[in-house]
Amino acid sequence: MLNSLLHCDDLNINFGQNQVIKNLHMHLYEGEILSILGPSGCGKTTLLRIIAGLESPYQGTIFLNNEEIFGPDTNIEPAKRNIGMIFQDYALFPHLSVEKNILFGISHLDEKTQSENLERVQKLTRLEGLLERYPHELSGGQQQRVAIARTLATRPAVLLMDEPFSNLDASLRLTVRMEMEEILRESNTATIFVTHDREEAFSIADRVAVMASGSIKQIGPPDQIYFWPNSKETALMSGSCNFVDGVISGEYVKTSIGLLPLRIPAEFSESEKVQVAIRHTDLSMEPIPSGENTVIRKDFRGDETIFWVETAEKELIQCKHKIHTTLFPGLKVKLSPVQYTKFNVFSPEDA
Amino acid sequence: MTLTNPLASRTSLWIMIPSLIAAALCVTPLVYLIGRVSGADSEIWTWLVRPKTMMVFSRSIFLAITVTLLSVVIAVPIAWLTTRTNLPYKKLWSILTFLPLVIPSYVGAYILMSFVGNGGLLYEILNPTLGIERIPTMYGYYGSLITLSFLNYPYIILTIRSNISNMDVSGEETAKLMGLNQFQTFMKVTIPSIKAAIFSGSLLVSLYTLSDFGAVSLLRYKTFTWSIFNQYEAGFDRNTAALLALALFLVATLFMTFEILIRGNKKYYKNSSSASRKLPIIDIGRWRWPAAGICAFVSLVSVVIPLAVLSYWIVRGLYFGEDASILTAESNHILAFNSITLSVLTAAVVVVLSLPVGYMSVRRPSVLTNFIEKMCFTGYALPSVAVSLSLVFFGAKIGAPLYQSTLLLVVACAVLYMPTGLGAIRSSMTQISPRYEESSMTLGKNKINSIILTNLPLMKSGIIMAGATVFLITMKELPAVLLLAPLDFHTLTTAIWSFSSEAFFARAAIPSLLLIFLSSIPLTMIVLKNNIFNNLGSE
Repeated sequence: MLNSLLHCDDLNINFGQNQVIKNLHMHLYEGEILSILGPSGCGKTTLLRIIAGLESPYQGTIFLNNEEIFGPDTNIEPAKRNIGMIFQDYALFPHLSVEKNILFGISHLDEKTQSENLERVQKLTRLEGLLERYPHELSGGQQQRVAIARTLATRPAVLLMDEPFSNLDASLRLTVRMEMEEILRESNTATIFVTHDREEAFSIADRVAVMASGSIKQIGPPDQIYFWPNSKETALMSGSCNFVDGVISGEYVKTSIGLLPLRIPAEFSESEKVQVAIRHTDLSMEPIPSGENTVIRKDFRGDETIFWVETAEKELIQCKHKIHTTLFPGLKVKLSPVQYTKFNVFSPEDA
Repeated sequence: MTLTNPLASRTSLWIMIPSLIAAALCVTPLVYLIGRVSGADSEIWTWLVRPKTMMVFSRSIFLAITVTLLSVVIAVPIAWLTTRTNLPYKKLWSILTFLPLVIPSYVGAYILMSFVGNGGLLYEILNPTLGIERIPTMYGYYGSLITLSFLNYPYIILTIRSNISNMDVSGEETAKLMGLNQFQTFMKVTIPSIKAAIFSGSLLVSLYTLSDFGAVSLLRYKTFTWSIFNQYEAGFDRNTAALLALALFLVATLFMTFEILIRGNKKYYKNSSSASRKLPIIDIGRWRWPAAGICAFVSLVSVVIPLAVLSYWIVRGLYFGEDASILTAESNHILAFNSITLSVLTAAVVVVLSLPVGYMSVRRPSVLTNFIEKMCFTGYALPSVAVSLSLVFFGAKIGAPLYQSTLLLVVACAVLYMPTGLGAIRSSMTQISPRYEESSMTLGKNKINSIILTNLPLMKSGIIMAGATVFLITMKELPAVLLLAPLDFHTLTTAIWSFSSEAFFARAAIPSLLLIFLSSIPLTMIVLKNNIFNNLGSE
């Protein structure tokens, strides 16, 4: 096994009748940034709280640095786990200055070590000149940097972040995201952050874990999650997606819009009925009078335009297009796969 | 490696044990009363159904209901006028109609007696000028009704006012867009949305009336509390006093149940998403000055006349050669000091006990913690006379050092005012995100340290509020001090009580004014902290 730092095995937790985490397995490598992508209510925040020690599962084990921190007979209290957590709203202590916030977790150390730590993290997070301020006097991005600094000052083995960008203005998110990645890479802190935004999940993570209804459905590098989804669910969560019926035919799948090349041939047997996942950018549209598909709706969004196209089999497909002036509802179009595009197919029984 | 038991980690013992102690303390008087009554001769039960007892019963209930109704009639228009309309001098009326809170009911009763009774102020004015020989006295029901209504209506104004200023105007605006006029909007939208506040304010007033001892005793209206006190003082059979106290508790519980039933379990939320806008001021046109007249009348009766009467008695006392030293007498200092000591101690005990209970009920809601919290609310339904009486029996049984000790007196006041303090602590606790203490835990601080380091600094204003409120009401407390204070421990309230019950009006005036003055300090603090008068809009 590669240097696995944190190891979660078979975690299960109930809130009342509701099983929030189900047989969850996961591990985190040293220095890695892992994002957990899932819809709200899938249990991703609960997973972070379990790892931090704020919730106790009824079953499962957690190892940190090969030491059991949670198990049938073990439940190390949060304070002694050496795992840092940054909450969605950052939870900066409103009555303390930035400096006091940062020193909060290291107040038991001698003064020299304290000031060394303060120096280190304020450089890392670029908080010079803000130390005397109070949380309410800071911008969202600054608050987040203080929260990171406060946690990194305690030198946690693992950093957990709950929806780190959700409290920021859309215009700030990109910059803050890049800054945050820099800080994390520089301090080489293994990090798990959860998000419901796939762009966030993909852009700064080494690996993405797709989570749904309490367990992890697929875990791997971002491009793998996008191009090789292992289920319809993951395909939908990793990007916009249409599903149409098809029948396997050699290295192709036969659908109402024609033959589409398979990404993994021979996964299903010849003539087997399957469902094909089609991303919004997978097909190109060509207006011709003999086209068998009809544009029924046009959704202009500025950078792109989404067209709803109805196939001969009355299946609806959404296609993304840059050009919009020559295409409009009522038009007959021909749909064909964009060059080099391969398609993923799933068994119809697959959820 | 530290091993923690997951069960124990849910609620730290450091929080659980103090909470249990608080709950035990709060239910002791009730449990002891029940024990005492159930251990007594079965004969005492016949007491309950005697016609005399039934009379006392019905007097108490009738008084409580009529005082509540009159208070609502006084409070609702004033609350609405001073918050929503272009009434002249709104701020002045708001402050004046708030002040009766510092006047204890027995001071109100004594002022009434010394104003209208025979030999009272009105007689002294009218006799020489108009030759009027007899002034109707104000003893009995009418005196009690007027005194208690004009002193308790601010409780209803307070509950309605916060409700009105948190009101979402979009309801009223929608009603107007749908074609309702001002009056229809008021009846169909405004009143229903403050109904819950009117009910909860009414409950408060009815419980205070039911448990009032000072005013009804001075005015010789023989209600439950008077009867309990007399049973005890006469000392024939103290078990009957305990039985009556328990019966009074049941009546109070009945009132609370009744309030819950008519209010229903409905909650009146405003849409949290809508930003709170300043409420639009409603133009009442030619009704502005008559409305101001009503406010002036209520202020005059409930604040201005009482203070004027008190001042008059002091001046008159000095003028007629009453020893001038009564003003500076050392005894006044001691009385004030004792009152303050008792109130500060009570406030401190209540705050210290409320903190763990409030924390537990907000952060760890469960059947058990809910039960513990409910037990701490016993004092709400257990009238002061009943708590004090129970602790007198209890203390007598235990003997020294508890019997007739200041400690027992503080315990009685703490049990009585725990609900008030706990309410304030609890509501400030709910404002604090649990993320702070969790953050602290993940930053390496242990559980109990995390709870204290993050919550306590943020609750500072809630703690001050709780302390100031408990201080304010303990200053006015009478029966507990009468029944439980050590023989040589006199407070402003006991001095006022003994002077005014013997009609030494001039002598009672000084401690009364002193008490009102000292109570105004925490009241001012509460007003400033809560910005109570800041939502009135421009005049």
